[in-house]
Amino acid sequence: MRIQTTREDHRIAWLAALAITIHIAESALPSPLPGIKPGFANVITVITLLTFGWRTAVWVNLLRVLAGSLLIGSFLTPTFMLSLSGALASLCVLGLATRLRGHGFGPMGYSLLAAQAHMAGQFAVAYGLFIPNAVLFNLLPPLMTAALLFGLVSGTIAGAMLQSMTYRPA
Amino acid sequence: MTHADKAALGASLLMLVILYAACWSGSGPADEVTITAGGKTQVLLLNHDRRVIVNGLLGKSIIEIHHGRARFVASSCNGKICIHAGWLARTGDTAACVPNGVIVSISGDDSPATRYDAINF
Repeated sequence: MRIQTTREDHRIAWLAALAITIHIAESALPSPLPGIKPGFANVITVITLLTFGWRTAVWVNLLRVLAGSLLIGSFLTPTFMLSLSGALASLCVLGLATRLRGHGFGPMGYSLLAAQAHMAGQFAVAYGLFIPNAVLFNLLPPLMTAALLFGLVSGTIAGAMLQSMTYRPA
Repeated sequence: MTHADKAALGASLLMLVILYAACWSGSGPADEVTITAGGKTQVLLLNHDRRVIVNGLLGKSIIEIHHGRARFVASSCNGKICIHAGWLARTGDTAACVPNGVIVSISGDDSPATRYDAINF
């Protein structure tokens, strides 16, 4: 039996593979605090969002979380729960953001929103499931600061990449 | 950057300032320590120096109370992050041994009357 694949399947697979590679390479970097990471795989999500639309970005992001966790060995661990909740939160916010009328957001805005939504979603799950102690809120300001800073970095990278990309479907 | 991008950045910065003000404002003097381990919680006064041994998911954790402060001195975890947290002295200070499931938290009177020596408007 041969599964029929469409062109969109291939496109999603390519983009997801790119995001997964970045995700795994970045997992080798040490982090100063649990939960702070550059999140450069989100660059792919934002570029996918701007070039191919929200649904493709959802596929790419969720495939990245799933396959990345399987390859790293953290599938269904608390890390995976946090990663998945962050991804779902950022995708919801991005979905709402695409509905903004007018010129809308550019890569910088989407990256900022995605990074902060990701961090907030992760924090909510960490607080609700793992450490339901009010003291966790002491971590929230530095986490959100990191999210904002890395969101700016990701946005800059995404913007630069989009400038040099030649493929832009109508 | 589009106008919406700038608005998003501005709103993010504003939210960040509010977060710091809400979460990082100081705390009052310490009266007692709450130790949660293995589903059981005990509240001890900080004026009596002693060492407390609790049982967690991995094994034992030893908490020392000395001169009105508390800290982890030993724990059955790998990283010993809980021990490196050091002395807990102010209300709200908390250390946790997450692998062992032990949380140590300082509580006390946290009203503005005890937080600040004087407040002027």
